[in-house]
Amino acid sequence: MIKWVIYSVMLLLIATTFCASAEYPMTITDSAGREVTIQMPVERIIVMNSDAAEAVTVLGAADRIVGISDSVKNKAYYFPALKSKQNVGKWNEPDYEMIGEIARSGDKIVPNIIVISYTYPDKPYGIIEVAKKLEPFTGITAIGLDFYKPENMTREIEILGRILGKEAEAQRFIEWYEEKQADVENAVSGKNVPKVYVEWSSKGGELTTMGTGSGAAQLVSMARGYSIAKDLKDAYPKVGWEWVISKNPDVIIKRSTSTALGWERPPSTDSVNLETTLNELLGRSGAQSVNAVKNRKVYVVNWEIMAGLDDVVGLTYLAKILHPEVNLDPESVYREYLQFLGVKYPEDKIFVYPEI
Amino acid sequence: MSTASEVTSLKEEYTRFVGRKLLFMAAVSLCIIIVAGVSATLGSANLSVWEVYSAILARAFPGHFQTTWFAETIVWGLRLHRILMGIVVGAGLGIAGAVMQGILKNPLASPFTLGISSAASFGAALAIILGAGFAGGEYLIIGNTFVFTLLATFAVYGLAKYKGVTPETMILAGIAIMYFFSAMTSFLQYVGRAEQVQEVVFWMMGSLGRSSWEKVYASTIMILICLPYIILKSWDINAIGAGDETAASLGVNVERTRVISMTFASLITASVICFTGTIGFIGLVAPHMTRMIIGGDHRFLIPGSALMGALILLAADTLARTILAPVILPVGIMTSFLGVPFFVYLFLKRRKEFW
Amino acid sequence: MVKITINNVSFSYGSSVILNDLNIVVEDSEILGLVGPNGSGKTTLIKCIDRILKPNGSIFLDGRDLSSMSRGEIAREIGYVPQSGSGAMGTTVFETILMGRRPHISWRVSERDLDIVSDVIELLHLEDLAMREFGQLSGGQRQKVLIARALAQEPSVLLLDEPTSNLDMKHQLEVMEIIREMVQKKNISAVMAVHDLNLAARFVDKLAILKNGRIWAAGEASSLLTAEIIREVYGVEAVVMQLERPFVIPIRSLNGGVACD
Repeated sequence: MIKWVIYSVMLLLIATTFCASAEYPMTITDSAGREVTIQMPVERIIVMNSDAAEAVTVLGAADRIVGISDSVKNKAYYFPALKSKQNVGKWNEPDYEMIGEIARSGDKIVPNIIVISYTYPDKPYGIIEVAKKLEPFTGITAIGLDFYKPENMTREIEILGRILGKEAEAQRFIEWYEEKQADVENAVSGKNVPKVYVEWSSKGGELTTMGTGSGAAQLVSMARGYSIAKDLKDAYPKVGWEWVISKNPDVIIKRSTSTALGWERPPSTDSVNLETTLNELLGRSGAQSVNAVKNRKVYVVNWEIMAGLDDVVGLTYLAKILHPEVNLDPESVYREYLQFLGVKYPEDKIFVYPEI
Repeated sequence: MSTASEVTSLKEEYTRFVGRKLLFMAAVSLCIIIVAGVSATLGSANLSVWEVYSAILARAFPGHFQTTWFAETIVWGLRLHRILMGIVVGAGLGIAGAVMQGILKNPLASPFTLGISSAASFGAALAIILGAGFAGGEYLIIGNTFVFTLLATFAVYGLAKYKGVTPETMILAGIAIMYFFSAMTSFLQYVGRAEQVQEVVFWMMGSLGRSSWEKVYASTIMILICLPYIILKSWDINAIGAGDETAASLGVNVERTRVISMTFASLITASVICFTGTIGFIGLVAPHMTRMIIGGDHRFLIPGSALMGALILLAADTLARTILAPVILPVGIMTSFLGVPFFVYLFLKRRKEFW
Repeated sequence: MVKITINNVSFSYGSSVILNDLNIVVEDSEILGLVGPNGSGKTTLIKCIDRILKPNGSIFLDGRDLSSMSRGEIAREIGYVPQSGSGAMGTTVFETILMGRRPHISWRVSERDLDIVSDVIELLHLEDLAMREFGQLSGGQRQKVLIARALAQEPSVLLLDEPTSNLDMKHQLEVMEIIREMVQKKNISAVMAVHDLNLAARFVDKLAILKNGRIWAAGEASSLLTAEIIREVYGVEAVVMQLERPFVIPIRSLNGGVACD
């Protein structure tokens, strides 16, 4: 019996070593369309944004992260394990010296380290520019991956799975992700389509909604809603309150300006903030003539769950808001997602206010 | 007899006066070298002073100094060009500010007040938000900034030309241009997406983070092309400071000198801020500080302002990239933090009437 | 010898005629005083002679038409003292006067330039002010410095635009004496706009009375400054006492009101 175990473990080891040596150097095409060659198994990862940190964590490779940007540090509630990792500066102006310092051992860099950044073509913090800055540090591989676009999610996760040698985990997550999407799709199919107004921001009395191409617009349509901003070209078009009234939405989704909402403060403070946010909207002149206000269908939503790998959680919440009668349990979807991240579900926290 | 010695003593006094100016410039140059020397040793990479200097000297005297690949990469690949960029950009802004204040006889003249920086910002915003411009790819912002900076200069000149090119008309035209481009930039920011607007704001704060050896060379060459004329015309700028008519009576072609100097000052501004974003404050304050210390003779004021600008920007950037490392602060914030107390000190200490 | 010949000179800003067909000559080592009421064209004429303004007609300097000379050439011959000078930001008196050497030097200041500036400073007794800021000086001191700057130009003609207008009695006399002395010592000619008829009568060799852009009369001060002429040119009733030179005492303005200007 013990022999068998030893044999199988040895076999497994040989198999993995064999696989590894067979695959490297490995060439992948990143989201910027760059051909990137990875010399050897990736042991160390520097993540330049929280979406990348989330993806790496979901695939179970958080222990390989050796450097994080400030935006990851600021989301300690999602990444308790990364809190102590070395900061490499602001996500849009990293300290390249620090990256070099992390990467080197003595006078050389073992080429088992990658830097994951957004693609953002032509931007000074886009992958092209980052790769150029890292060029002198032979051995550091820069990879551009965008984990914020729902339509690319599967592809990005698959690429990352290959890079990290976590194909199985990637597959498992993708299956779960697609299953939850399918659940929503099935639950809402055939339902009537309410008109939805998504408010990104009302800072300074200036209303911003989410138009074509934005993640939220896609989620609304997947949840079988009709976004009144659907025909507006920009991703974040500015609109007037009068225009919103004239469109007479059946549901209003308001982004909570605090991304940490529901995570860092005790629920009591949250509900005060949420009440204030909600009342500001309800108190706008002419608000009472809008269907959504009349029927009490105005919700403040924590945006953490509306973008990134966890947008499927947001989608489920959205479906429940638009169609309260459907048999979906957003909280349990969130619980499952947080298991991927290895984070405990924060009991009694508010993600959608008022409660559905 | 006594008169002869009086004359000699006056000459001596003036010679000493000039000597003090040269001494000041030598002192500032020394400070620049020291700050640059210290700056080269500071950074997140864990290199000793010896490692840093070995890496520097190994290129100068190959064979005599041993360096490591990592030290070489950090020092030559990341630190030195940023240090030189700080010196070149600071010097350029100092020169441009001194020239503009001189030919416009206005202590508030600077690339900012003349609409040049706001035109540059508009060029950058156009590139960032609409992706439109005069060049492609990574050169889009650089090209736009450069072109719009010059456009603003010609617009200021064109407007002023109608009423005669006097300091008043140029400053008023500059203010009009500034508001025009600011409004255009605000409009672009209004239609832009949040992250684009953020990038525009970031660009407008200025940063040396985008420096490279090529950019150092490009800016240096542009400044070296523009500088001889300005230095040669120092006397004329001095004369203009005494009044347009006085300058004319001293044989200065006032309008031509003003227009050409202005164009060169704008060219210098354009060729540095297109790589760094709008770094404010230095163009305004470096000439003032220098004037407070060595006086208003442009033969010394212009090179002095260049050195002063270089010193302030270099020191500010050194602090900006080390004080909260690995977080790199926008250098514009540090120039103000560092420059304002110094400026206020000089302002309070030297009560002389300079303008 | 004739130094400056002004020939049919006219000047207008747009449609308003400032100078109308002026003809006058200035001899070597002579001070020509320009007098006349405000707006009669005194300052404009001075600027035309320095070609800061470009008039119709011609002005000859030593027989050369000024319009054929370059700015630099003119600057080496003609020194101009403005009515009031603002100093450039942060310049000392020495530097302000050194600026007068601008027409003669390319960039480098030679020993000779420094000698000339030092001499001029000594001549005008400005030694104690030499290293002070120009902007800190009093009106009288500034005026002397501006004259010193013009002298440092080593001109053969000095143009002065009301050099005494903002000065007290003592400084008025001092400045006028300096000008008189320099004209004699350096053998140069001067054209000077003056408001004060008594100062003019005392210090100039020849007087030109301007009214409405024309030369109303020109000649010796003693023959021109009469009660009739003052009434006609200024519209002022005055008593003129003819002592060793004329003294003008204004009594009252003729079109109502009391003489006070």
